[in-house]
Amino acid sequence: MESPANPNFHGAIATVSVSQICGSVGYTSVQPSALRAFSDVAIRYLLSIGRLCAASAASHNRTHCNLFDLVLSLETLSSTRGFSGGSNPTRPLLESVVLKELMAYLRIVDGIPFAKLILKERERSCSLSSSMSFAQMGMEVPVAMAHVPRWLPCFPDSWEAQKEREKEKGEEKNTVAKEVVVDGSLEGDWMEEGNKLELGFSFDPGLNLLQKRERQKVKFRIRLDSNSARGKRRKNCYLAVD
Amino acid sequence: MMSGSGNSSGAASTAGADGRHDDDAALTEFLSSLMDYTPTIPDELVEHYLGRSGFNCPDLRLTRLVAVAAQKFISDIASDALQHSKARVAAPIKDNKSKQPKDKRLVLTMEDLSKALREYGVNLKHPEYFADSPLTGTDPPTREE
Repeated sequence: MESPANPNFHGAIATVSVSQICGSVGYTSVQPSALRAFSDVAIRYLLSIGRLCAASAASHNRTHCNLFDLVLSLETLSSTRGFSGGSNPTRPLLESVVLKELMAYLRIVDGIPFAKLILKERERSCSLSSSMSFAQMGMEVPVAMAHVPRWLPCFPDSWEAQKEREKEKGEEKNTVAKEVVVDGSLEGDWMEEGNKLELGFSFDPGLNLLQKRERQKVKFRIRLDSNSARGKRRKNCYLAVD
Repeated sequence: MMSGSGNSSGAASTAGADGRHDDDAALTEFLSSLMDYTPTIPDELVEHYLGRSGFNCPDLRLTRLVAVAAQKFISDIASDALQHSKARVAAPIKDNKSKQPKDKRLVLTMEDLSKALREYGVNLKHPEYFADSPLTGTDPPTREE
C-alpha cells in the first residue's frame, strides 16, 4: 500500500475496503477496472453525505452537524430508489425507514475489521491548536486585529515563524558534518570497510544526532604519480593510507 | 362522555409517549452499539472524506454511522451485481449444452456493476476496447481508401 504522503493513499484504502465488502457478499475475485470504479463510487458517496450534512447544518445556522442532518442526507441519497414514508413532509426523522434499515443491518451483519494497518502521517504540532479559538487558547487578539472576535480560531503561524523553526532544525543537522580538508590531507573519523566508508556518527529516525561512536583516526593523503606503463607519461592520482 | 373521551385521549397520549420512549431507547441503544461495531471502512478514511466535504462533528458515533451507511450502500450494490452475475451464469448455454462450466468462481465485472449501479442512479460506461488508431476495426477496403 502507498505511504501516507502519496496522494493515492486514501484511494488505496477505499479499494481494500470495497474488495473486503465484495468478498463478504460472496465474490471470489473482481476485475481491476470494476474495483477501481466501485471504490470511486464509494468515495463519492462519502463525499456526498458530508456535503449534504454540511449544507443541512448551515441552512439551520449551525456549524456542527447532528443526527437529523445525517438522516436527511441519507434520505436524500436514497430518494433515487425511494423509501417508505418519503412522501410525508412532516415525517419524524428519528423514525425514518432509512435509519431503521441501518439498525437492522447492524444487527444482522458482523463487523469485518479493515485488513491492513493504516500508516499515519507524522503528527503536526499545530494541528489541534489551529482549530481552537482565541478564547479556548486563553490568548488575546493582537492589538492590530482588535476587530477580530475572540470566538474565531487563532491565526496560524506566519511563514516567518515556520522558517525560523526550520532553521533551528537545520542547524542541528549541519553541526553533524565535520570540516575535514586540511593541507592536502584528509583527517576525519572515517573507517573503511571494504569499499564503503562508514561514518563515525549515527542518526535516529527523526534525524537527530545520536552519540558519536569512537573510532580510530585514519590519515590519508593524495599524491600525484607520473610513472605509468607502456612508456607513456600519465599523471595518476593515488589515495594512500598512512 | 367527556371524561371518557378525556380518558381515551389521555390513554392515547400515554401510549404515544410510551411508544416514543421505546423509540428513543432503541435509538440510544443503536447509537451506543455503534461503538462496539467495527465497520470495514476505517474511521480515519471516513473522517478524511467527511472533513474534505465540510462535515464537522466531534461525535465519533456519527462518523461510525456514516461508515456503516457507506458499507451498507456498497454491500447492497455488490449483492445486486451478484444477482446479475448469477442470472447470467444460470442462463442456458446455446452453443454446447453438454459442456458444463468448470469454473464456478464469481467475478465482479464491469457489466454487472454497471447494471447494479444503474438502479442507484449512477451511469457507468466502460469502453469495450482501446483503439490505437482511428482506422482500427474498420473494413479493409475502407482502410485502403
